[in-house]
Amino acid sequence: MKRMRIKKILSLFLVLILLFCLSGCSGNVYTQADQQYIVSAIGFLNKSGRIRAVAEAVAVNAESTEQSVERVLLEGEGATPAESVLDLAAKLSKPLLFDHCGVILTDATLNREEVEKVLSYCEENKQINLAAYIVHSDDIEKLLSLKPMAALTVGYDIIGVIDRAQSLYGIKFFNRFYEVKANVLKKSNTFLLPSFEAVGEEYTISGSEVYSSFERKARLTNEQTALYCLITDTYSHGAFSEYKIASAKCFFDSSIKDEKLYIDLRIKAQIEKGSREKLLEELEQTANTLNLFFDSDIFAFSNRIYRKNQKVWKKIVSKEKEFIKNAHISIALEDI
Amino acid sequence: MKAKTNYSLHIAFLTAVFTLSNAIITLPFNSADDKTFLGFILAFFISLAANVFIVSFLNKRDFSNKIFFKFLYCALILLVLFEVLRSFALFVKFASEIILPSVSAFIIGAVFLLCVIYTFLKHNSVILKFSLFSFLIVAILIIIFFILSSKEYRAENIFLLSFPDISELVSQIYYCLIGIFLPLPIVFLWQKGEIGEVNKKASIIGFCLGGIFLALPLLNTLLLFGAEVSGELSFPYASAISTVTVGYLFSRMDGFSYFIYFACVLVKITVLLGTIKTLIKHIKS
Repeated sequence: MKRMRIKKILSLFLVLILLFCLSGCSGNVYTQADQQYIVSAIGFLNKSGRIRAVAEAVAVNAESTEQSVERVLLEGEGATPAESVLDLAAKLSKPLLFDHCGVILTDATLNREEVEKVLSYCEENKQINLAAYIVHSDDIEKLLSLKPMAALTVGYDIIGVIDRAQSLYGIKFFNRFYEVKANVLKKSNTFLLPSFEAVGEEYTISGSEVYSSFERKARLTNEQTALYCLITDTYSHGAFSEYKIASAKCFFDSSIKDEKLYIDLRIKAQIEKGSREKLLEELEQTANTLNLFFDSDIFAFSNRIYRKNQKVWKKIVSKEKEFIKNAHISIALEDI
Repeated sequence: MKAKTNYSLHIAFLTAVFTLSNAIITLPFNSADDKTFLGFILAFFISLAANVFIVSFLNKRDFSNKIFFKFLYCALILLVLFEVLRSFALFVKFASEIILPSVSAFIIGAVFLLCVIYTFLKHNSVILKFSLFSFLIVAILIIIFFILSSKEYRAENIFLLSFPDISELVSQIYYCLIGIFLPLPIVFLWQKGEIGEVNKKASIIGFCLGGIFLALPLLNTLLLFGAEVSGELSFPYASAISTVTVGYLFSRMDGFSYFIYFACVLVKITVLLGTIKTLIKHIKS
């Protein structure tokens, strides 16, 4: 009886272990790594009115013992992102595999419709994982052609750099494909992408880009990105400039008086006393300047008003953009 | 004399797997919003009350000799047949889109059909034992993936924006009742036909287990993607599993969702076919 029970438990574990065989990219026809190009990152840019796709891929050469894994940069052009990828794939002797594509890059040359098309293409291509990172770079070709720093490819290095930057600075980009998609579907349609810069032989996060309705609206430095995250309540804990913040939480309130929208932000942060006043000043300046200067709801205030104060939302919904642009923003910085 | 096997645990797990099979891979539905989870909970309790009543009703009555019920059986056969075709089509769509995109849907369908025919032709103890075995694996996988996804959860994804409007809540309850809980009495009918009576305690425990293990993937998907994104995905739970990465070695663990759905649908379709067989027998008698 006891033996039977052990047998049953063992068979359960055996099935669980065997299930790993179904995982990975085993569903594709070419299951052997040396029969395909494994894409780690793909970028899209506009070149003379046509979409150019640049992909960083890994090709496994089973015949060579000296250099068995080769990193290659592939390029293709077309009227749409799908066509450019097709053009890119048509030149190759082996099929492309997108299952392990970790990064999707967009470029400043892409207009609003093209950014939307890129995101739609990524959604339609079922091989591309929803957890892929969406990243902005003004020089995709150079960035992907550089030598990787730690990982096998630049694409996977970029993921590592983003994760490290987020944990060190305390900022949260929410730039995974499903997070960007979730932000697109919200009232504000605003999302934040980390911006990568290639300087010499190295690459780093130079700041971030705020997109609203698929259009690139504002470029923020790393410091401004941290302030942006504090205002939008997406800051966790970390250090930037001279500030070291152990934890932060932004409470949002809104009201309407004499046809003017008042936004009150109460940021509770664990921060050293000496730097509090300066941080408050910088926060106020960032919030008011960015909100007034850019013709869009870059702090996604509409979404927060919709979520937290339906009465105010109903009053501003017809002229939402105007109300938010002229809103009076007051910020209070408190100790936790 | 051989002792009669006690199948209470098997029946409980069969009911749980059947409950899971109805929606594990499609939940939350396309109509998802911030009230989906609340709607699911309420629909679960409504269905629980209804199922307690249905089980008692089925155990008290013998319908086999009444002519009126023969017409009812005919209608039921059509409904169950519809459910068989719907589940089969959904599984083939899932397998050909998510797991084996480069393999023809016809081949996937043919292989799956063979599995269904094989289990259907076996004695009912086989499907009961398979249910027990599969439920344990499915439950372990659900818990593991719920924990592994937890670092990406955003609590605000399930916050209610405002006090739920009754009509919105009713529509969410309606979708859950129709999509998840409505086909459930079929498993009780199967028990009545194959075992002779409905095991009330095991059935209700199984239903509750099914509800709990359906709530976990629903929560997993909602906390990860939010209602808006989840509502746009064809197979939200499979997508949620595909985002899990453990270290550098384990990524794209979609294969696990394949087993979860395969086991659930295999049990469901076998039970549905068994129910059709029972109903035809009653009509003939």
